[in-house]
Amino acid sequence: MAAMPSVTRDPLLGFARIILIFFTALFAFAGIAVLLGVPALLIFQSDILAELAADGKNVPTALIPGIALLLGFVALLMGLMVYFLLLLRRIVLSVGEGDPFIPENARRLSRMGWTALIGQLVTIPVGALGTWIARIAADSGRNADVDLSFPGGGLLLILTLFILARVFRQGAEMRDDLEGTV
Amino acid sequence: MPVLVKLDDLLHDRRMTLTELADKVGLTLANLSILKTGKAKAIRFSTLEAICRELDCQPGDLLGYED
Repeated sequence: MAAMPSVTRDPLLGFARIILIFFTALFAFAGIAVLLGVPALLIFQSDILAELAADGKNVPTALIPGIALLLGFVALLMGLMVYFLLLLRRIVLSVGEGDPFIPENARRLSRMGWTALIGQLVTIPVGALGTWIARIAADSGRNADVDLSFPGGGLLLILTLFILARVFRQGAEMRDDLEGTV
Repeated sequence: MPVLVKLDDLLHDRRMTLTELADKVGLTLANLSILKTGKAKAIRFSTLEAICRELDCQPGDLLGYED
C-alpha cells in the first residue's frame, strides 16, 4: 500500500489542520462567551426590564428568560460545532499518518452525523425563539432580522456523513482483508 | 498454517540473503519476512512471479501443503 503524504508534507492536510484548530478555538471561545451571558442576563433581568420600561418599551417579562434560553441553545450549538471539528481533526490526522481506513474513523463519521442531526434539531427552538424576540423588538420599534432557511444543506450534510461512515467501515474491512497480503 | 513457505531453503541454495531478494522483487524486507515466517495471509501472483523469476524456481518449489 502506497504511503500517503504526512500532515507536515501534504499542504492540503497541513492547511486543513490549521483551519480546524482556528475554528475549534473560535467556536469554543464564542460558546463560552455566550454561556457566560446567560447567568448575567438572568441576574440583571429586572434592571434590564426597568431600563426598557423607562424608554417607553413595554416588553413581556418572559423576554429576558427567553433571550437567556436562546443564548443557552446557541452555546449548545457552539459546543456541538467544537465536538464536530475535533472529530474531523482526528480524521485529518489519521489521513496524514497514512492509515485512514480504520474502524475508529467510521465511528467518528457516524458521531459527526449524529452531531449534525442534533445541531439541526437545536436550530428549531433557536429559530422559534429568534422569531418571537424579533417580533417583540419590531413591536417596540427596533429592527431585528431572523434568517430561517430551509435546512436542505444540513440534511445533505447529515446523509453524506452517515454514508461516508459506511464507506469507511467497508474500507476498514477491506484493509483488514488485505493485511498480511504480500 | 497448512501452506508452507520454503523460502529459507531456496535462499540458502541460491546463496542469496533476504535483503537482496527484497531489493530484486521490489518488496519491503518487512513484507518478505512476513512471508518467510509463514505469517502472510495471502500472496499476490505478481509477488509469486517475481520471487520465482529471481530464484529461478517454480511456485511448487516455494510453496508446499501439509495437512
